[in-house]
Amino acid sequence: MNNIIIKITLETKTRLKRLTSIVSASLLSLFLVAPPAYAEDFWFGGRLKAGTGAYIDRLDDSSRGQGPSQFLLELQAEWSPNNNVTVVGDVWLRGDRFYDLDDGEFRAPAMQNFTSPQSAFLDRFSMSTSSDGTYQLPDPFGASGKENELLDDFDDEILRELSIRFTNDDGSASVKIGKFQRGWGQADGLRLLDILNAQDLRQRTLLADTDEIRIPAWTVAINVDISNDVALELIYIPEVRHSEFVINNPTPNDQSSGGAFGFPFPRLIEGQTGFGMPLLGARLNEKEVEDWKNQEIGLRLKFGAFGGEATLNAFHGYQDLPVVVLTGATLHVGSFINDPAASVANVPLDVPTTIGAIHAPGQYVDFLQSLAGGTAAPGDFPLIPFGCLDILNPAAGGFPCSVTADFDMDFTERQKTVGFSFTRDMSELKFGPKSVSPVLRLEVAHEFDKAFNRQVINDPFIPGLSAKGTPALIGTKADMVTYRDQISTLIGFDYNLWLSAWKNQRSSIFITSQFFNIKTKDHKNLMFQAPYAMLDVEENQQYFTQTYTFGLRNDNVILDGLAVWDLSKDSFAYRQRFTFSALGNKLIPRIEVGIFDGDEEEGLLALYRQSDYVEFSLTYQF
Amino acid sequence: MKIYKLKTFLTNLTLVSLCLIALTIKASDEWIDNWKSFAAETGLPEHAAWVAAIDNAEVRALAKDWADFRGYTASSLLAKETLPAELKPGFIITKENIDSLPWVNDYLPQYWIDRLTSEWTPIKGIRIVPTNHYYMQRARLDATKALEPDHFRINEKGELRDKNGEHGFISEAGLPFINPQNGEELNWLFNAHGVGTDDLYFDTIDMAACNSENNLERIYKANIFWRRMAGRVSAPPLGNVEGFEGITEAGALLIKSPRDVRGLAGVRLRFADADKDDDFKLYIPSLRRTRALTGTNGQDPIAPGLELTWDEWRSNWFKTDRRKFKYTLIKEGIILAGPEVGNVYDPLRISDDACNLSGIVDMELRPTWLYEITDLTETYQYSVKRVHVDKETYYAQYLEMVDRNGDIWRIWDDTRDWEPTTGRFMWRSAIIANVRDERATIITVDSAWDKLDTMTNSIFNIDQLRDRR
Repeated sequence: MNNIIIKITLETKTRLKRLTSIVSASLLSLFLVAPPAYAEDFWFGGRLKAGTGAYIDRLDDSSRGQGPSQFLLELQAEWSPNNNVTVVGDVWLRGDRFYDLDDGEFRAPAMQNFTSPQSAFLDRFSMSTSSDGTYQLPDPFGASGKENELLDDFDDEILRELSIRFTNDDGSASVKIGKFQRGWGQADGLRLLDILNAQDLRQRTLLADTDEIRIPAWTVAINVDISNDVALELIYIPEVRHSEFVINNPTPNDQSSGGAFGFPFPRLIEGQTGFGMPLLGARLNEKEVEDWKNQEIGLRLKFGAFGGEATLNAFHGYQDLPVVVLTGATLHVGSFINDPAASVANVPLDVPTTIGAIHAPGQYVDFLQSLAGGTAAPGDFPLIPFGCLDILNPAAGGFPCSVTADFDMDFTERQKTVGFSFTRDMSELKFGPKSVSPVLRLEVAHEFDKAFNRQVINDPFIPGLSAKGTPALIGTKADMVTYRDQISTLIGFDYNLWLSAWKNQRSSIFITSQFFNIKTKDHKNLMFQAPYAMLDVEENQQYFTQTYTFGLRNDNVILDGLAVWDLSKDSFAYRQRFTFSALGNKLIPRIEVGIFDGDEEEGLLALYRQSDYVEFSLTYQF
Repeated sequence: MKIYKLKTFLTNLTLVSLCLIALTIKASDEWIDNWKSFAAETGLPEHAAWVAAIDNAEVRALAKDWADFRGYTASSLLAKETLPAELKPGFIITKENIDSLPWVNDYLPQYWIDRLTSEWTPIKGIRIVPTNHYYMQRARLDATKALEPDHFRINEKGELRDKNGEHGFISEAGLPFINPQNGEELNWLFNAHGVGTDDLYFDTIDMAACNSENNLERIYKANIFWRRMAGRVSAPPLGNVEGFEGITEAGALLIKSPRDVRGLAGVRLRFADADKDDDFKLYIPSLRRTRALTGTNGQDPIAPGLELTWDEWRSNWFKTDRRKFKYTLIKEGIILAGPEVGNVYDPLRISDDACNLSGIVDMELRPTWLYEITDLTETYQYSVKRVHVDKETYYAQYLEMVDRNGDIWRIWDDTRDWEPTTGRFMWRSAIIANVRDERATIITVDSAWDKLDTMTNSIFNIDQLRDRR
């Protein structure tokens, strides 16, 4: 019965999505075809972009393969039949030929290597991110990433905007309905209040342009000017989107690749001994709220204050990033590498059984701890009763075995945030050779009851003991997930820099500096982001960002740099662009370099430590 | 006897007065007749169209009222000068004859002389057209007439104040210092021209960035909106605009192309208080967010590649402050400048490629005041700005901007879209040339007279403007 209900729900959802796509496509076609016939105030434009590049700091230094090779076709149209109505349509088709061109060369970390007890199982296999695995030792793992070669889901990935905006005659009130994105707050790069839209991290992670990284959603936005400098904005989002990312997962029955910008498969570490946890894989399922039945609501009051502009914001929606929740496991009898096809038996384990297999006395964690303590003896390997090979005494015979844990990446947790932002031209402070003032940007967000995975859970079997690290992901949701308030603060300055030594400087160097502090109450033993079990939450997580933009050769070459420091985890990312202009600015060549630095899994930036890249792209716009 | 003499005297006085009035009217109308004969001579349709625009009773009446108030016209001022014999309507200055014109440097800016011989923005010739009589709106005239001669003063900061100590730009709609005695007074008269109308709407303005080979590097198409927020005389809301207290003018820019900056919107509000910097907000489509920019940095180009900086909007828009700048009246003079005939045709004749002038440029003789704005801070991009202010429009006919080495860096010349029947101004074209690096921003404007009544205050609210495409 339950299966039938699930099937009906899924079918309904699929039909609804298909209907949405068909309706959107029809409206868009009508919009693109009908207005040009008679409308003066119609605009049509677009761009075609193609890039090629190299990844220059690979996990396997000897490999030479393709770098980012992203392409994009975008068509945009706008129609303003009168001052009261604006219609916007925007579709784009994106992809990355990297997966096709790399020939399997780009490697990413995979599961702990069960053949390396001498490293305390800390050595890891690697996986190809552009070709499927061979499932043969010594290099069994890989995923082609074909699904990311072309992002072609019409509603989720192609339709970028389809909106209509109505405004009254004096422009003091407006309603915008459709699929679009809307930005809040003052922070760049890191999001405090800019949380209305989720992010697409698949193509260039946080180094993508802000408007290209936001995922548009079907939205209703109502704006009302209450007075000249007080305005209210109400946002209603019936289609809840979460952030899109890919975990490079080598597990054969759930293999996936996001290439260099996939999140790496996490280290699987028993936190008390520091031993790796071999023979474990993961199957990941996205648990989402249902579109159109759940919704997000935002409210923003904008007003003048203290000589600047302030906003008060409130948002009641859903988390863009997941907590991880165990839903069961599969014991593969016959495969060391979690390959169900090579197994003689695939034994499903429910949640209590999985918890028992990991945490119960004499089971997996206990066994690893005895290995670390040097007390493990042949016959202690907990899977022997299932006919599995004793890894301490292979000569005794048996099947190779492994376990794949099933996890929900649970996006159904609520996000409840209030905050304020403030920006002001600090005209009292004038400095530099041209006596220019900086512009202050402030932003504070208070998120209530943000869901975290625990890094340490109570031992389910022995009161007073605990499980730490990856074993903390094996438990019930009640054990694994907790809630904390989090207060995030930004202080930033923008400044037009003129150099006193440069007498004929044509234009200023625009620089921005931002300092972020993210304070989490009772931060201890929380995971920064599951499933990265060893990445903890700081009480005060701090970032600093610096950007500059500058034109050379009469702005025919634009240099812009973006640096991000994770001050708490000591990691770093930098993006440098050289953007050229040719053929009357219709052709835009660009060289882009991205560099990431940090210790393994030490913060968000360090996740991409093997993803340094150089890309050359050409954009033709019309 | 006495009665007889008195009668005779009164009769003669009446006759003389009537003759004088008739002569004045005739003199006032002579510029229209000059245009008629000139248009007949050239046979060019644009000249005939201009004649049609000015040859009507409304124009005659409005021109006369302004002439009566001022006590002069451009023609009457020119009549007092001894002009070269060749310098008359119909004459064309060319590369071939310029060396035989020793007087040319006295009337024609060097930038235009160079255009006749240079490969950079070359022109075939400069045709002298009849001098027009320009004026602003009748309501502005009435508001100016209502003022006492000593109604305004300039305070220690350089602000315009009225007799009550209020900001003169906010409390009064009339023009200050119609007969300026010094550079500061002239500067305020120039400021008071504003954009020559209560509301301005460009739909669209094309701003072309052109290199020294006269090739197009970029072209921006945009809407520009402008609203006088105080002292409004001709379009509702009259007087001062509610909700914009303390603000003299507001400008808004909405870029339509190129695609990568389409939707970029900016709103700038100018406060009367010299110590209060402009409120400047930009909506950046690539962020989908509004950003505050500092009002203290008007020296950057409006967009990459352009020679047009934020301070050069309407030729000169950096804020008056006598603590930072010195305003010096240099001289009165006559200059050859583009006629404000943009309502009918573009006298610059900008070619379709946006970076060339396609043939003969029309110019007329204009009586001007020349004043200099000298930077006292030694930090501004220009050490000096030289502004030739027209004695009828009170707006710039020509500007030179001098860099910190003392060399001319940029020049500004433009053509206004002047509506003769109402006296309202917008724009038709402009050239901002960087003579140092031989680059130019060439501007073509389509002034949307028929859309002015659709403008609302919400255009100057960045959150409303951002969704207006």
